[in-house]
Amino acid sequence: MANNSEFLGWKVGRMEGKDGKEVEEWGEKMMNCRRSKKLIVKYSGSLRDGLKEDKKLAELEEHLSVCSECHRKLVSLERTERLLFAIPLKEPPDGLWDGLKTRIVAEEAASEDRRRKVKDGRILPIPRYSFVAIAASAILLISIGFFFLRPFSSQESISPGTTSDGLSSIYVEQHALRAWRDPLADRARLGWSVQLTIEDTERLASP
Amino acid sequence: MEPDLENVVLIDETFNLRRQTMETDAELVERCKAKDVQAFEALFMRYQTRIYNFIFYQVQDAETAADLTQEVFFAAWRHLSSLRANEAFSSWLYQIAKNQCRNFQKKRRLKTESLEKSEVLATSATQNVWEIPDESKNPEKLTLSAELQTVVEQAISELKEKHRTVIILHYIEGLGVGEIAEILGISQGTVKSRLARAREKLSEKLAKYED
Repeated sequence: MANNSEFLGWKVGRMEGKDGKEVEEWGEKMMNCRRSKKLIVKYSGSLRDGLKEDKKLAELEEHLSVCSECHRKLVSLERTERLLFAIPLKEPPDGLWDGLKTRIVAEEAASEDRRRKVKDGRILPIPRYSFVAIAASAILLISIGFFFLRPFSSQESISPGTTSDGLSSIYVEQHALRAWRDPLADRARLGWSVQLTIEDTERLASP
Repeated sequence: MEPDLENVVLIDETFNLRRQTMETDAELVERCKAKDVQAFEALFMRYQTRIYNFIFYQVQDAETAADLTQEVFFAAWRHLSSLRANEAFSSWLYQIAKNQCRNFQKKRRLKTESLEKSEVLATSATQNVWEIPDESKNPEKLTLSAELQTVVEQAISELKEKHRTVIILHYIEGLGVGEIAEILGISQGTVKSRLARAREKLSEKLAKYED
């Protein structure tokens, strides 16, 4: 058996065309070690079923018959698999159920007691997901508060003598730039509206 | 004539036990949802060994495995009402066990212990006292010595969690690729490739013990 990890044999044959005539000579690379090892890992032992009907299996077996290194890998993997299958199941310790049953009974008694207290009106029932609901409401309230309490006081008053250029820049500064920074802003529409505003201001300012 | 009460009770218990072992998971789960502790006992008896082994090979400690097994079943009892498909009980139980193990590993990283175990492995490798037996003499049944079993278990514990899990479920618990895929919520192809990779890693780790 050759030990050649670079083994690249060639099979030579003839391919037939539609009319049955031989059209060309063709060569096919015999499986090399790299491909063979991949297939061995993937399909040896209990995972082999996947390759049963595959033509790769024949190619793999052909390669294994001439390559001792790949054959060794296959043997090693199959031995590992046999070791794994030989590991016995461990027996859980005795008394596991008794301990669990005690906890279950105590848990059920506590919930029964709680149900009774709720029924008698001694304690208030707390809905199951109340904490989640409270947290969600708090986040919602904070968000709403943040939205309404944003500082709008930065608007500057426009003095009577302001030029058209000045008006445009105030508009851009106070509205457009702020809106531009909004992550959900339609920037194309904003740019267009800024342009229109500037044009309008210029038209009104011109004699 | 007075009825023999002791025998009546015994017969009744035997009948209940037989009924429980014949019932499917789905039927038992339905009874558990109605707070039937006996039905839960039947489910516990059916799955305790599998869950215990699954946890044991994840945490490598018998006492912890026992505690976590109890935790898994207790959590199952408490949250059984959230299980929609009763027939998926076993997959659901394994998922709880997987999460319990993950939480446990997060809480306590066994650095010192794994170091000690690596030393044991290294020593055994140099002494080469635990050779893998030549199973060709007895191909039907391979019996592991206690020492060799320890070595294999240690090698399993050193795998990545995703590889370790599929190895335990497939080779030790004997589950099929489809069942594992369902439990882990991954495709069968992924299970196969994880199994292949894990086995290759184990083969490399155990190569030094081959004769």
